[in-house]
Amino acid sequence: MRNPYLDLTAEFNRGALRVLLSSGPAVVLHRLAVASKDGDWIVREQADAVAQVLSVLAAHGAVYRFGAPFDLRWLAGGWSSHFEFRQDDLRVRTDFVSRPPRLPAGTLARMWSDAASTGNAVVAVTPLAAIKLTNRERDYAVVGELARLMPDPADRLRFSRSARDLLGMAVQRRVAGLPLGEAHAAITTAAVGRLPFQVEAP
Amino acid sequence: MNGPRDEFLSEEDLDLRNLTEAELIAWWTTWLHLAQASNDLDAGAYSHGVFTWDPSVPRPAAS
Repeated sequence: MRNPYLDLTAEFNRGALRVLLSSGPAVVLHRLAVASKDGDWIVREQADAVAQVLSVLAAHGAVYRFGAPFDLRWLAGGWSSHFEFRQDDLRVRTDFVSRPPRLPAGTLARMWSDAASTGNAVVAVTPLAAIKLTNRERDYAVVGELARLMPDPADRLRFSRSARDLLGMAVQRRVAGLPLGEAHAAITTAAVGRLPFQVEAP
Repeated sequence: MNGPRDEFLSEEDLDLRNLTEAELIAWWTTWLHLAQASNDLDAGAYSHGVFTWDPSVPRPAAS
């Protein structure tokens, strides 16, 4: 069974790395949840990338949805572009942005560099969590689980959605003789004695 | 830390970790096909800015 979003990613990236799978599809590929019907990509802010994506979409008979023109000038302004086409019985929706929210330029540059060196065109867990800090409440369930996959303890602290996890990390750092960050210390101090469970040293 | 753990996602979602790559893709693709059943309800759904609904698409009648 062919997956339309993996197939599109391969078509977009044929011959060069032009897109990274992001948002809902990336959450699936990090094995956290299947919860989005749409495809989301970060596209390189380059004429060749835009031309290739448009060529692939045109071949599929895609039409624009509500949103900005898929054009470097709009992408550079942080706008997103959206298309839709039918593939057998599937409604395929494709969303593109070149400057995803909450990701500094340096982070974005490293994402492209890492993807080029690893061949993995899926947004990694930490930048994915930043992208998912939206105004939709349901995204925060994903952020909470993404935090548990982050390799850097500082990132786990920053993105955790669990008081239990934060207190557990505080205990582990104290046992290891490591200092707490100011924000982490403030959170744990505020939480101790106010939560309906005990946290014990491992 | 001992004791229970906060769970943000369903057991079904968390079980995705135990699938092989092929099983994961097959389940995702099957889910996409099943989810087409709600296409009429989310035809104008929009979550990319201040709009929540594509203004050119009529909202479905409330049931």
